[in-house]
Amino acid sequence: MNRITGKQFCAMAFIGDIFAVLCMSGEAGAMTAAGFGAGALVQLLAALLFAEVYQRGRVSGKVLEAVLLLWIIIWGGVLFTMQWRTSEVIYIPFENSGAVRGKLFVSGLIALVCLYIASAGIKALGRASVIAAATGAVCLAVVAASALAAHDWDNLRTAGSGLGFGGEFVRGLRASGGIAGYIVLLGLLNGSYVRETAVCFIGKGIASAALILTVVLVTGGIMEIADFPAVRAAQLTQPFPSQRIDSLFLIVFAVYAVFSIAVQSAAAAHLAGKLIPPFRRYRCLTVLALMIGAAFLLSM
Amino acid sequence: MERTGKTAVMPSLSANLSRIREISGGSSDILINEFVTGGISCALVCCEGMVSASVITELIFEPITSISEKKDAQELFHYINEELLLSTDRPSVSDLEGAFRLLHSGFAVLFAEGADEALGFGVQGYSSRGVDEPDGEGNIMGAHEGFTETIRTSMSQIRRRLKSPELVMELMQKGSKSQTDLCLCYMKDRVPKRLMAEIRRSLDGIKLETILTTGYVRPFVESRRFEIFSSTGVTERPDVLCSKLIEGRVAILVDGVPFAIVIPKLFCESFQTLDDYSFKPYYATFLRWLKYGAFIMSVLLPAVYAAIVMYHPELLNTTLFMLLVESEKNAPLSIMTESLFVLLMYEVIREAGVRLPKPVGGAVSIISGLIIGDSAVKSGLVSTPLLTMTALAVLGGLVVPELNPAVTVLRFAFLIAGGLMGLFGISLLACAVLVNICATEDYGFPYTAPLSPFRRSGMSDTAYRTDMQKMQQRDFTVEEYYE
Repeated sequence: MNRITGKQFCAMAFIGDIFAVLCMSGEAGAMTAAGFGAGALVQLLAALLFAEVYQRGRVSGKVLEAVLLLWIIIWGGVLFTMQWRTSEVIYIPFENSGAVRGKLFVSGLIALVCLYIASAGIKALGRASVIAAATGAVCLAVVAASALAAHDWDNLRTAGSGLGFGGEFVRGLRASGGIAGYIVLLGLLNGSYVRETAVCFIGKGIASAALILTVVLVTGGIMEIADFPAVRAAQLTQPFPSQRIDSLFLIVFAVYAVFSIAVQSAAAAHLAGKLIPPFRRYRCLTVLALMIGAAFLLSM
Repeated sequence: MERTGKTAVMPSLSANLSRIREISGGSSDILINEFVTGGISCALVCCEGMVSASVITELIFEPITSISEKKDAQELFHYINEELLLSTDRPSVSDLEGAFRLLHSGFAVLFAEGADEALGFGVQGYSSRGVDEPDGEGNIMGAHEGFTETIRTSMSQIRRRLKSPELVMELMQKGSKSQTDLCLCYMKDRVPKRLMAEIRRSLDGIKLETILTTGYVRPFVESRRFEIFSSTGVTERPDVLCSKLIEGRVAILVDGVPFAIVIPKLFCESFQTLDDYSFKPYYATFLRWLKYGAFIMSVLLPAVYAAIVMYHPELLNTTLFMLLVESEKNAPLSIMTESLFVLLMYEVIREAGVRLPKPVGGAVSIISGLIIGDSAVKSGLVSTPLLTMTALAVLGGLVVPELNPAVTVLRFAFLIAGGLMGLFGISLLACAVLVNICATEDYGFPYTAPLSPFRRSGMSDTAYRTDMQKMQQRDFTVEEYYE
């Protein structure tokens, strides 16, 4: 049986949400962190409701599953778009040398690895997610700790997008489209749905807010010219006089991009199997193709 | 006369002997000694080289030829079996296929006129290698003996260490032509019942003609999906095998092979040696982490070196950067090509060293190490830092010899990924490899346990090595990791 543990569930959710924060575009400030935190709180309430309903076995119905599948495919497309846009400002050797062709090659490679990972099954993906999330978190912590050497507390007061709390709250909600995938994964969870959901979303809210605050502390002064604040913060990281460690960010970006898309693909493939039981082969390939199609539509 | 596809032993001695000659195709190593004892015509059949000539003369021929007159063959067999007690192992067979199996296992088989069965005597005396120190699993503080090619000797080595009635050793024959003895070993109070049932089912699926190494059996007890690392382990040390059996694992011994297959196998076990339990826990923990580091270095060092020097030099400090620039500027090949060349050269030399006779193998090492290596650096074909990195990576792989085949291939794959796409390529490949490792499982036991799925209790022999008293209290069996 493809069952996952609470830790695996949280790791899968954590990777997707942190990847969305890493690819966040536009200006950010302390209010953004508050907005993302509040967004996570609202999602927690919604997810708890779902978890409760799941626990009682009341969620069924093809229509709901079809809606969730559509949502996941669109969110997968959004993740591909985020990866596509963000890779423009990250130094990826082949991508920079080949312009659009290079970017297509990079995205194709990511899709290929996602296909392999999603095909390995949710159980394997869950086990790997724990290790990937932990490794990524350590790399992020090193980058954040190094970045803090260049921090300026004044940035918390001055930097901001000007959207206000409401706007940032909506922005926070928008950056968490992975919730449909989590609802699907909830059905595969071994353990208490409610407890794991609570742990997952509270952790996510804290991690997202902490990451955004670090980014604001470092990038706040040049926020107007920073298209991707998290990437810029990593680029400004220079813990030693002549050494930079922003390449570490590249590792986090690659790993989290692959795993966040793979998690959505695996969830979508699982749902597709439930919706159309005879559809066994090429499920992962089909949902990934649909996600790439959605990404093209979203980019137009 | 055939019953259920088998040729029954006939009451006519001459008919039996002519059938034996016919089945064996007149093979020269089948020896038939005809004689009369107790007034009954008999024949002692044995396989040359499989029996001990002195034992057969002293313990079989001498007593058997001085038997007094007997009424018939049944009385003769009853007398031999119940009163003479010529050997400890005296199976009787009623078909010629069974008789041949005994002959080929070193038994002497007695046929008598009028008997519809034959009597076997265990007088094995084939030459075999003595108990020796294992080559591949070195040890400082533990026992210095490894398994031998003779399955009975290997079984006795295990029994000597586990004098418990709970230890069960089941013999079976597999291979339609080779009729190789396999021995299934387990502790019946520790082994998970479903694991035993599934392994038996897997072994029933073996329809091979011959079994010559453990490699013939392993695919039948492993998952069929593509796995980089093997989900079954092998060991050539009886003491290591006993520690696995105590943990509820199952072992398969193969006659003619001085290795035992261990099921299931965990990734972390590749980093554990028996010496870890002889040293103080703090030193054992240090060694454990040294091996983890060596493994990662072995897989990633050439790739990371190529990626950093080619695409991410900002990770280096100025001094190191200038040093590398200075040494690489005269190299005619790209760093990736250089690395591939050096690694391939090493693999060729290693393979030559393994396959050649030992004295020549030593000469190959000297030629390759001193002459080729030295001249490659002096001529500028290969830079010194790159050679150092490659040598370190290769050495790291030798720290965990069990994983060396997988490490070798992964090293090449990561080097190509790192050389083409820098750290990005390495990260993508690492994701795929990580998922492959996490997907590896055998009979429901995940290969990556206790790391993922995480078991805190398992960390006491993975992240560090706790003291023996605590390990004893834990009373671990592998069933804890079942998913």
